[in-house]
Amino acid sequence: MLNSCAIFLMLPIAEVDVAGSEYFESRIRPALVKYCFECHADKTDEPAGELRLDRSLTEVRPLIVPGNPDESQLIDAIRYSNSDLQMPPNARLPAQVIRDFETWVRMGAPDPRTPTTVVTSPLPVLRVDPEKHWAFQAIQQPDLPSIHQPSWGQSPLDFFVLAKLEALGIEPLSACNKNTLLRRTTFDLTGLPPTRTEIEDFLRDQAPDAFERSVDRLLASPAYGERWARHWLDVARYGDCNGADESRPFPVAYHFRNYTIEVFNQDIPFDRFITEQLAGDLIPHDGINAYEPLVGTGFLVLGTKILAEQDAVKMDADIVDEQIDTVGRALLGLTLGCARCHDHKFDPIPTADYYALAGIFHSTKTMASYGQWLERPAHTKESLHAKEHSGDLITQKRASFQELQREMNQLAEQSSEVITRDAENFERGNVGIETTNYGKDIGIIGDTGVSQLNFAEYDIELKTAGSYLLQIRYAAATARPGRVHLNQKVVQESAISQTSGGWHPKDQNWFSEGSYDFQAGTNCLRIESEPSMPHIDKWRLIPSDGNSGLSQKLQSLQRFSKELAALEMQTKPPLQVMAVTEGTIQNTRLHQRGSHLRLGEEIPRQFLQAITGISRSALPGDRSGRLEFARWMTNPHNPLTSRVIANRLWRWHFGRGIVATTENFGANGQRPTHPELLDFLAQEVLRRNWSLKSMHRAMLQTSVYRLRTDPQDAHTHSTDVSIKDPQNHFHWRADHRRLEAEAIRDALLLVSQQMEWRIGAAPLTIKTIALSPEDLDQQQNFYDESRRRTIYLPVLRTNVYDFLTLLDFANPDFSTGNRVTTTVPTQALLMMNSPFVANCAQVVATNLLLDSQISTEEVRFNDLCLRLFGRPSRSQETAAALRFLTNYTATLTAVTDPQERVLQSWAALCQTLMASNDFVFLD
Amino acid sequence: MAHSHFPTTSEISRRQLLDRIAIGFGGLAANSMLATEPRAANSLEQQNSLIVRQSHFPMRAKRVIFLFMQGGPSHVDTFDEKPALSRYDGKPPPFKRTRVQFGDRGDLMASPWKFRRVGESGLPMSELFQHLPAVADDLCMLHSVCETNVAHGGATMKLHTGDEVFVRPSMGSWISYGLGTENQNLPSYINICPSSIHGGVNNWGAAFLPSIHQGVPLGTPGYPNANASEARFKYLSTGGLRKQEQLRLQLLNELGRQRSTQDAQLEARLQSFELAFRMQMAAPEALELSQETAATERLYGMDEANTANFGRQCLLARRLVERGVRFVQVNHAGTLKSEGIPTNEQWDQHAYLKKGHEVNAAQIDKPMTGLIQDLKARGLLEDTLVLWGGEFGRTPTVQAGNSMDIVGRDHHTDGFTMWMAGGGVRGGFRYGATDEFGYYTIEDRMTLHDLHATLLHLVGLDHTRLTYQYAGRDFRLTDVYGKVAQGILA
Repeated sequence: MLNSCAIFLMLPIAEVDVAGSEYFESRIRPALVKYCFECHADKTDEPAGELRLDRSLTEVRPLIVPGNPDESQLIDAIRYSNSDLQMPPNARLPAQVIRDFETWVRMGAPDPRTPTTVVTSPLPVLRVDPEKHWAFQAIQQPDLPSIHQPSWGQSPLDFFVLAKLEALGIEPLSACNKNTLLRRTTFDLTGLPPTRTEIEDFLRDQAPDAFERSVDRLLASPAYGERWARHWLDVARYGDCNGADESRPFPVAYHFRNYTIEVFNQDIPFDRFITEQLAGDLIPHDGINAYEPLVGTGFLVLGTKILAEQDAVKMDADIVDEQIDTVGRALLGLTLGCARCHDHKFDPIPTADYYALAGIFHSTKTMASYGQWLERPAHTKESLHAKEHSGDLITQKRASFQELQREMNQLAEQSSEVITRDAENFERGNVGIETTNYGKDIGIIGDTGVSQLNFAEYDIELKTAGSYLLQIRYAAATARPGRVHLNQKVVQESAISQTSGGWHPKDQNWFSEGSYDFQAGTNCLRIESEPSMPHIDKWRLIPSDGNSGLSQKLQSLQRFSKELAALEMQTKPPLQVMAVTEGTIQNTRLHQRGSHLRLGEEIPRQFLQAITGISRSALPGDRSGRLEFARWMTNPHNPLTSRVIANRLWRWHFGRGIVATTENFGANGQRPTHPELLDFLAQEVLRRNWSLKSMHRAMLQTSVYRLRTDPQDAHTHSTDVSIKDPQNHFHWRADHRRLEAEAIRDALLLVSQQMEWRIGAAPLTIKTIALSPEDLDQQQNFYDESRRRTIYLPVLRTNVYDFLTLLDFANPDFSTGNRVTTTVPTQALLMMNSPFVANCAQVVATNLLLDSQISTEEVRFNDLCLRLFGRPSRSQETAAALRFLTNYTATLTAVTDPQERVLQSWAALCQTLMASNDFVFLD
Repeated sequence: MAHSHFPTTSEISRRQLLDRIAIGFGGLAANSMLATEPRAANSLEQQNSLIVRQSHFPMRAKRVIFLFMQGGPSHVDTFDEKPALSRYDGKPPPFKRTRVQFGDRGDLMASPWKFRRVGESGLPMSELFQHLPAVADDLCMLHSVCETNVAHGGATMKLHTGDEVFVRPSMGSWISYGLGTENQNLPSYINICPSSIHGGVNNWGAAFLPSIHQGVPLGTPGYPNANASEARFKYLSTGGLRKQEQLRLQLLNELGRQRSTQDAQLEARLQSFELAFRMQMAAPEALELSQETAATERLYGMDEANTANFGRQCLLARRLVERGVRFVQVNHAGTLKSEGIPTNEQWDQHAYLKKGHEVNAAQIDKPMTGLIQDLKARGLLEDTLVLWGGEFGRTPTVQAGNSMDIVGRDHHTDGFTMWMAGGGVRGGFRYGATDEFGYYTIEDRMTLHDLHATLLHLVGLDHTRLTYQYAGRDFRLTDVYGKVAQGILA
């Protein structure tokens, strides 16, 4: 499609000179017929790329630029000089034919044939009428349907569910018992099992609002945010490193995770949350919320990027594409990415709409520089507060400190007492030396790009022992911390850890790395880091215990530095977060077939045409339009946004969305099973001011939420129903639902009383994300030994904890609101053989056996069932367990200590129960 | 849309259910969600299991072994002989370079190795290979592979998954999804000592396909990769006595059967424990190399230090395909360490081309030759396809601006060589060609999509019909591209 979107007007046929015409007839036309017409002529059903070569080509630019072969796309294509467009596709033309075409273009591309008019509409008509597809229609205010069993309906929601069942002639099951309900609700809202006390309290509480108060209690628990933020992190495709081709760490991504937990716990209205994620950099911090809204825009930056893409234009286009695709799936339930190359095949999204949105994101700065995403300072409530109170003082002190530093640097430059060395003059080392790209004026050392421990060692001869301040001059756009050794001892664990604003010579700065005692004779100074290193230019040693002017200046500087540090300690500095900012405001040209090499017309920045209920005015020329985009997204007349979140909430509570394809509300997605209910819920979202906690209450205070999973008597009930609705689409029962990976791990930690409760914090605590076997072992150990809630484990896209991936953790590369549940033997192996599960079982067994209140094995087993299953033991179960204990103990012939035999048997019993369906499924 | 799901057990008995769902490594994957719908496989149960499925048409190869050469072996120094490079040695190339290049490139450079004609078919092959000529007449050279990405990450992902930007199912996963596997006690797709870089897990992942089709790494995926001698499946060993495991399994079953439920998903989960128990016995046997004779070990070069590691990987591959594993990848993908040259990604010789390629070729030459000979001797080669190659080739030009002053070649994407052997391809055959400098393909271009289409064709799958619906559209390994290279079919 070289030019289908351009408009070619009928032009007077140029006088074609006879020689040119002859050349065309003898050299060009035969070649076109032989090599091109199979695909590019009228007789073909659909000329490839909508390009026809069976007409006069003289005026078809930029296919042909008369007189200039190098500018002509056709010549470019047949030369095969462009790997993105090579024609003919099978094999390059003979060299002579290529030369003929070049000559012909140089002659002015004389072509005696008749030109054809090709006109395409600049605003393509929607292929699909949005009014014909339910998701684009305005949200209705459905009337409550009438039902025959009003007693069943606790809530309007139940009316919609029961009306469907009654229409199908299906009778719903009865309500589940209180143990089951509490376990279901507690896992649902907090991702954890109820404790024994909570169970006992709930069973005892006979008040009519007992359940309501339990829900309130759970919603108020910080564990609620830790559970529901994880749902959103699936949708936001959260990761702590880039994954893909170059998996660099995202060392500050965790702020977005913690912010999301806070958003849920504080019940920030969801429309506000959307706005912060799309345009938080453009709205002010109210000083009340824990985080500056800017933090939300991490949502746009977290995606996987191909960082080594050598084609910078393509890289930009791919990053924007990932953003559009994620925003579409996550917030609108639309597969907008499909319209990158062609009009959407099923939905009313023309390619022009895609590039209208692309303009908004191309006007947004996501990357600081090639291959480096943007990080920006963002305030928390505390740091904002601190800034307001002591900000000025600190600013003044910093300025004086810098002045003092400048003076000392000047002195140091001139002083003969200072020992200075260019970094590349090392005695031993494996670092790379760079004297061209980053140091036209200076030589630097840095890592070689290979994953390794980089080091450089310097021998320093001193006549007398003394204390010296070590300063290192380096440039770093991102922090690449390392260590300093002096005489084979680590003296600084966190050296070369600052950023200086870039990698280039202008970004080179001196940083102090601490004072150390040097010995008389040879000293060995070693600077090391892994896997990457800042660009180190030089280092120097300034004597800090002498009486010279320099030493004294240094001493006062050090005192001042301590004061400043103390002052800064009292205040909270702002965070460094992944975030976007406004970039160069621009419209994007349509990329034909998605290729950045084939640009069509410029498309003004705009939102989707398919949403007709909101007027679309031109976007301002001085900003990207993201804030306007967020406002459009959260406009009550947008029929998708509130439906999409209402559906997600239903999915997370009930295991299946009303629209099963939570990321696709388009024509190729599933249709809603209960369209009126969906609209009712979407209206509720608006009516309840986008409060998600309020929506949880609405969904849980229903009869449908309390249904049993299994009929009391299987044989009398299921035959009929299983034919009418075997998959339970219409909620005549509750589904058996396997716990998510996080819930299983967190429950194991909780029942074995090993959970380390700490909210927030936890940056990328794994030291390395490198991938040598040693690094991988280190990561595995880190995961296995961590006792924190799962949401705080880093998500290394290149090496997600296998406990999670085996149990269907969401792929962090995609927006996922509907995790699948698989049942595979590798999961069985994990539950039976993983050291982590074995450890939890061992701890539970030990605790049970130490409990002096427990008098018999039966009581002990009952206790175990309460912990693991949230209910008392059953008699058959107890019998089986006791038989197991006897038989298992009998196999332990090699164990002489009888107590040890008991412990091992109980541990085996605990682990088996942890693997059982009763534990990993919710009834 | 209609969906086929597990029926409730009131429709069929538990026994019937278990008979219906063929049991596999991950066989009883019960997909409880409606996110996807069946296309190629007949039902969701089938998609989520490894049950053997009917191919679209008769298969030429039942199994695939992919020998992946990470870093990009130089085609003009191995199999694609270019005498013109000697004539133009040290001269600037008389053609326009590609628009996007990885690094700065210098003048043309002659190959440091002599080429000779090998086998009855007279395939050109450089002196880098001393053993491979013995099986030359089984090799089908693909000289016109092209259209990958210039950087390792993009190129490696595109070779494995067909896409250089997005995370997509890998080719082994597609084949597992399309065909299932013959041994239900082993995974369908095994990746021996894979590399974790340049896409890492995504290169053997199932992406949105059901997860049982993902490659199972054998040995810790590492960089540098772990020794093949340490290759093992994770969580397989228990350390407990067989009797103890039986007791645990028995208790699980007893507790499960006591429940009044008849939910097939719960039944399936119980069954998965029985399978896991069987796997614990099957897998160690498959990996137990002590059953092999000394002669076989010698054939694979396991008796020599330099070839022992890759030889062991190749022998594991043979044992696995012999036991019915559908797709096995063997990786020559680690860090090249050799005296006198800096450590370097395996075949990525931007510098020290001569030394680096010599070390690399010596490590793989005997093992891969032995593999082909062994497969042949066991009658497996006729329906086992061996595929060899890296993510790209190397430029016929010398790498410019190389501060190390030792010549090497840059990444090259517009025409390079891979080869196939066995399962349905013409032996001793050359397909496609690059120009006289080995720069652009000029004959029978084979894009990576074409390579994938051809690979699927050889295992009996039509690349346009092997689809999976995800996020509202049907996905294929070949996207909207791909053409089967009919010319190579035997």
